[in-house]
Amino acid sequence: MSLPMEKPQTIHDFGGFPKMLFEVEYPAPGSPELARESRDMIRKAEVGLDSKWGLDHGCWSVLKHLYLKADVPVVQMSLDYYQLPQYHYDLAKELASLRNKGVLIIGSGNMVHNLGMVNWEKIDEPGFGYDWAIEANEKMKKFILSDDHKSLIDYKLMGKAFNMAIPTPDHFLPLLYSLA
Amino acid sequence: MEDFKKWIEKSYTVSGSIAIDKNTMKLNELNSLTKPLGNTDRMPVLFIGHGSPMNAIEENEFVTGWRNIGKSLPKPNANTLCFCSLGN
Repeated sequence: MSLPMEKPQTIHDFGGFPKMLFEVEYPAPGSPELARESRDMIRKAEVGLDSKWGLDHGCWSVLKHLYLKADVPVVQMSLDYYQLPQYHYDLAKELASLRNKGVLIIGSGNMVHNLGMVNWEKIDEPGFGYDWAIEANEKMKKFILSDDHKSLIDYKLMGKAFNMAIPTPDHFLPLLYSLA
Repeated sequence: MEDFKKWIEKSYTVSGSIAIDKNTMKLNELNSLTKPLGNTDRMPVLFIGHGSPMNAIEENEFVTGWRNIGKSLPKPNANTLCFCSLGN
């Protein structure tokens, strides 16, 4: 687990996209203070501070539009996805009080994310979605709106649609941080 | 932002135990640590489905939505903390 510090570099952690995308830079400053502060709030895990990693696409592709000028310091926290969902939820709760210090917490990921199942022929078809993807998406939204965090933490027990929508936890777990 | 920095510096100076070796700090000590900063409004929390990395350079409904969210957000007076599990 790491929290980058001084000047996070823009990392282009993907392949097969146009050159233009690899040239995007998001030069937001880091924040050693917040990085240290966050690390110190977490009792549940040993958190290391890392100045070499940087901001990956989940972070800058979104922040670029939220804060166009890149004038808000950013600390990215990577997650240990070998840990169980409940662990992440509990860990995130330890950071909640940062909200009262003017810190904006953003979970960046995807609720439905299964690259292996992408239907490339229909990718531009408006409104197209697999039944399981639509089902999982609707159920997740329902759980979120009814504050049923437990069902989202236990997503592996929620049936086939959820298993298809979340084949690996990497894009889903950030949602648990936002909820907690 | 400046206030935040000053406060951090001050905390580190005034009570040395808050400084670098944090493994000794317990969660219930957090209240005293964060008290001086407790007067900001509670910031919102976002979860953003970032979709394809191409959203970084494309113009589409998602990007427009994010810009609108950006405009409606209070500007963080300290920092943004972004959770991401990709890449590690």
